[in-house]
Amino acid sequence: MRAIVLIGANFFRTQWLVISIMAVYLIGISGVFGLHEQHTEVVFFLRMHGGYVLFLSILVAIPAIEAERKSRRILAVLSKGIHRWQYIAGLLWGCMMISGLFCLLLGGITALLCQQGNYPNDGLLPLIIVLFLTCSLAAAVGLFCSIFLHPLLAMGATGAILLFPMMTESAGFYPPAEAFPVAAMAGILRIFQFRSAGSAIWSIAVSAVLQTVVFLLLGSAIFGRRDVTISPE
Amino acid sequence: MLAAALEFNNITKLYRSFFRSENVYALQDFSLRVERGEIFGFLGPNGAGKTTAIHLALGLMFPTTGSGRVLEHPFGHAPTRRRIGFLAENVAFYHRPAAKLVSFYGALNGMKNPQLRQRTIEMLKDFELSEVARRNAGKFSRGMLQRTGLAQALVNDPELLILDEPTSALDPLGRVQVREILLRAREAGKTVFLSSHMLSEVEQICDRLAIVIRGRVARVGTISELLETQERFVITAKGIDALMFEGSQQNGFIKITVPAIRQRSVIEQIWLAGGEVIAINPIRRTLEDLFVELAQGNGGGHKKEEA
Repeated sequence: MRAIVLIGANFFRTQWLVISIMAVYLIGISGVFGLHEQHTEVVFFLRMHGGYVLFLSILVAIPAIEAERKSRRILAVLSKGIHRWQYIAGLLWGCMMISGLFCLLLGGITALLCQQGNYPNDGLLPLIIVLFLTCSLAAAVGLFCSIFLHPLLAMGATGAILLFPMMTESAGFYPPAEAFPVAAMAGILRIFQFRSAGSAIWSIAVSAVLQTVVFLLLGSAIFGRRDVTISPE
Repeated sequence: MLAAALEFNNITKLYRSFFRSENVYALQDFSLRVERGEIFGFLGPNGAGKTTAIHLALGLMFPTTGSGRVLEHPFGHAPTRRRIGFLAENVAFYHRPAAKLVSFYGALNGMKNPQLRQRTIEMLKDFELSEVARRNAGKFSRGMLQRTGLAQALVNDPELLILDEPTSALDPLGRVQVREILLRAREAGKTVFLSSHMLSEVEQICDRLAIVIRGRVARVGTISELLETQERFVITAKGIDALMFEGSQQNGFIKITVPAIRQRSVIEQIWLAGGEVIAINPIRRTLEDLFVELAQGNGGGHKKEEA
């Protein structure tokens, strides 16, 4: 557990530039929304940035392993007394810390904007919790794909896995929302209004947690059988 | 007999090329045994498979065929790695203060405070990094990075030290320091597996060494075993004409270099000419001579897969 926390914290630290830029952007843009505050703008702020946070989770997860391999920093870490699954879990923990920070920031700013304008913020807390869990799943799928694919291909594969229902909609096939929590979350964000969340959102949350564990286990199993150093030219 | 510190048994490692047709054998039927408590030198030209062998031992990659054991456990056994210290070639670290880096890697090996803090301070002092302990390692020179690498490799007080080119970026003083640390480690009963191109360094401190050529062990033994050859001798004589024997004259003595097969007849000729044989010495090659001879004779690096 200690190794996972250490690797996660270290990964979080290495992403300081992305974190700083995104944090400054979120805080800055919330100031703009605060100046001309209307209820519809607060809703728009939450919907748009909820999508950004989801995308950011994938964006930080996918290049994580490749960057470590190319910089050869992975050698010093994996030559220590840790298991490969702990390394993957550590990276996932780091991604979760990043998405957790932005979910917290997004929820806090939205609550503040609602308070300033005396608007209700019903359903905000459950939405942010489930957003965080789906972000974790998105990161887990991104990490999983990046274990055996080039980052660009991994990005495509991650998108295809997470947003499968959006691709099948045109063919008239609607898979259950629980089977694809990230796509379901994207759908919820698209139509979100500050209303009390139904119980459906919690089934998405449970599914997201289970799938995160499954992708973590699958990714660890594959990573545990792969060479981590790059072969000579 | 004590179990070996490190053992490779008939290991083959094939790098498969996805798009290109040619596959490369980094190691082929590679077998080697490193005993406990010795400093073992691991030599070979670039691309001979040294780093691959080290990465296999650490479980960073997997052999195509064959197996190996490190500290009595199969390669890749994570808890065993806590008893190993490793410094990679072209060392790369996170951009963090040196002290935090050393402490981070120690913690990954399961070390806890106050022991971790104590060892970190000791290592930084040993490698003269105390003054820059709070500086970002990302801004270090190559030599300082290598010192940091050695500090992190030794922080867990390992039983087996695997070092890939540990002194390539160090100044002469730094090399002497590292040499002393390695000799101290041997005195403490630890095993050192040292891959290096610094032949003089290997010659000075290693108990045994192996030379790897094209993924195979070409020679293994003690320095004296490897460098002494029975192929040629120098006969020192006096009381004869140097020109008669194509020898060189030094301080009144004639030194004649002869192949082993001609040794007896040349001695008889010296006696017949009324001379006196003072000494007969086998020619001792330098490690560099042996290395060059083996590398040139075998074409050096990796072996491409034969059709």
